[in-house]
Amino acid sequence: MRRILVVGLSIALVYLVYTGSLSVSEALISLVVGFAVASLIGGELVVDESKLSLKRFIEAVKYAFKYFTIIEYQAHYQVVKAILSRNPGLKPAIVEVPYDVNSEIAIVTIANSITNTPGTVVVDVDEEKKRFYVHWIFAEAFEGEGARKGVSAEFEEWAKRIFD
Amino acid sequence: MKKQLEDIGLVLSILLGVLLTYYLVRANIVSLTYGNIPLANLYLLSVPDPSSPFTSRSPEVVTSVVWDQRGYDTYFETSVLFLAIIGVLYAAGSSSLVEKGSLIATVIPRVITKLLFPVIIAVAISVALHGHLTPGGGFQGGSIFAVAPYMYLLIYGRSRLEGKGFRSNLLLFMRSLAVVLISLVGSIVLAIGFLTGVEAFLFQNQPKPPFSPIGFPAYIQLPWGGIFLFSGTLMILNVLEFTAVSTGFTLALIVIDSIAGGRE
Repeated sequence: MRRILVVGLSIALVYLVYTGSLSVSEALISLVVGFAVASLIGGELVVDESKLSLKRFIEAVKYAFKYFTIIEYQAHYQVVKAILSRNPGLKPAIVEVPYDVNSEIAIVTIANSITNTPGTVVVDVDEEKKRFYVHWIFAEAFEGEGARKGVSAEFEEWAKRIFD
Repeated sequence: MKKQLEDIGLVLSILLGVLLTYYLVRANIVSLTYGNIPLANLYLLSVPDPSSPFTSRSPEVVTSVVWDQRGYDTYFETSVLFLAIIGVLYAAGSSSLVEKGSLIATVIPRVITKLLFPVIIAVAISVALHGHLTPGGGFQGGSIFAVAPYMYLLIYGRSRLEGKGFRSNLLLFMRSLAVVLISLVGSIVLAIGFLTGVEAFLFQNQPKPPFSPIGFPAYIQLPWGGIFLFSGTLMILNVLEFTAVSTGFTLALIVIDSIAGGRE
């Protein structure tokens, strides 16, 4: 029941933001739309209801803030420096990065965090062996803990705290 | 036997509709033209007339309006349809994304599809409901809506989409219902005019004082103050059009997928 409430309110928020209006009638319509769609897909979106908590939500907000400011800045800076420098020091390779989270949404959070920072792109996932295959333009290690440390260690920590 | 009865019923109802229209027009109960309307006259006189500054040098006024007077608009309509078809062909053609038979697509498209599904539907409904206020409308909203079940179909297969209520016969029913209701809304004012003996038009929205005194209300007063503007038939028809287009496109995509041999 709680998942329908959370998903319904989130969809209502999406509706209101897209519409760009805050009148009473719009708010009522947004709630109708939100809960109708939530009853259709809510059960699939929130797999484990017991994991819905305010603490995890606050962690997610903190991660979003840090990701879109500090982490993105650092990754962009590295790539911009390589583009402008006479000796960019590139070492492109596809590396095997292990991960240790269980829920699907956590895996996707890590994968999208890797892809969204310049310099690294996830090209494939092996869900049985729990490995990402990542194209990395400054490859420091090709597999194992070394690759995890260079590519996804911080994302994984956050993803665990938020979703696992 | 039942099938034959259905066929005969269909033919009879079409015949009846044609005869009724013929009778109404011939008996001067409804007329297909209405007096001297300046805008219609402007187009009808200036488009075929080579000496007019607005000429298209064509006796076909509708085509001239579509490709000349509003050609820029038509260009983008065509582009939108073209891009939509390219998108569908690309998604259906990339068989590496969806392998036939076994469980497919990696966790990334599976989760992203689940996340985008409600967002696409919320945006589609907003576009449809505000068609009388902002760019968009029933057709545009319905086309956006169809993306959500189509993504779901490609990633999860037909049977799980049907489990969500997107069943062929239900979609067909909703589509037919919406089209019937559109024609009903379009003829309500004409019917009232006919019964009360006032002049009225097919698909009339607001009253047209010199010609017809009746029409749809444009807004309702809300109990908590303010008004809710729905512009008469515009919002009603947009919602019905949205239903017809979204279910129609979804049905078409399901049928295409089953013919092209997509997953169950």
